[in-house]
Amino acid sequence: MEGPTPVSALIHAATMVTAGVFLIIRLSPLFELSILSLNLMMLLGGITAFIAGTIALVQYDIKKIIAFSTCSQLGYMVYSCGLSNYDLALFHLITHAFFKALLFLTAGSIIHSLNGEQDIRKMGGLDRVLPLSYVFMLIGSLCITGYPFFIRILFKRCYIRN
Amino acid sequence: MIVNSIGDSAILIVIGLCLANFETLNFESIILYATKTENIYLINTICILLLVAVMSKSAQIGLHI
Repeated sequence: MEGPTPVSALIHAATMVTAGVFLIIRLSPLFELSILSLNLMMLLGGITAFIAGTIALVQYDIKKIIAFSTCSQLGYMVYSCGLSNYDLALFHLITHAFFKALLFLTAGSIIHSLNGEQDIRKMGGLDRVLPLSYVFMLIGSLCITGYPFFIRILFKRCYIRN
Repeated sequence: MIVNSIGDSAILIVIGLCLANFETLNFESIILYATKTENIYLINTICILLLVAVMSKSAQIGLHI
């Protein structure tokens, strides 16, 4: 699933990888008839969300970090489908498309400005030379962590309550 | 890639099962016939094969790249 950064922004954020979650939501009355598959789905999503998030912590490539974060968010969506919260999964899918596209396009802008350098160990002090990319990356990061006054704070409350 | 082939095979088997048992591929008709049927093993098989397709498409653990 590798490609140029705008292509990654398209297929990782909105189009390709969320097709599976959309299939689950579309066929949700069928999945409701099978408790076994709902339990398997919940287990699968939980393990994916945990392992992909842990792998993203030890990556050095800026695009790989965002890609593993997408994997983790997909795990959350499948997990909430397994808990029969399909509306929450669809809402998560839509907002995830917006902020993940923002993060990917900002990462592409930073990589292009640094002459193709993708290693985050060689970056630093970019708020002086790329202030606009800095602000947008900050907005995307705050949104993905569910900061107050962003829409993701709703999800944190819903997931914890469920 | 091998992962995509596994997921596509799973959803092809689901399409074949739906055609053989329900004789339709319409979403609403499949759901209607599935609620009427008594065969729980058929429903479980369809759902788990669909889950395999979802694993391959959405890069869940087990069929990720």
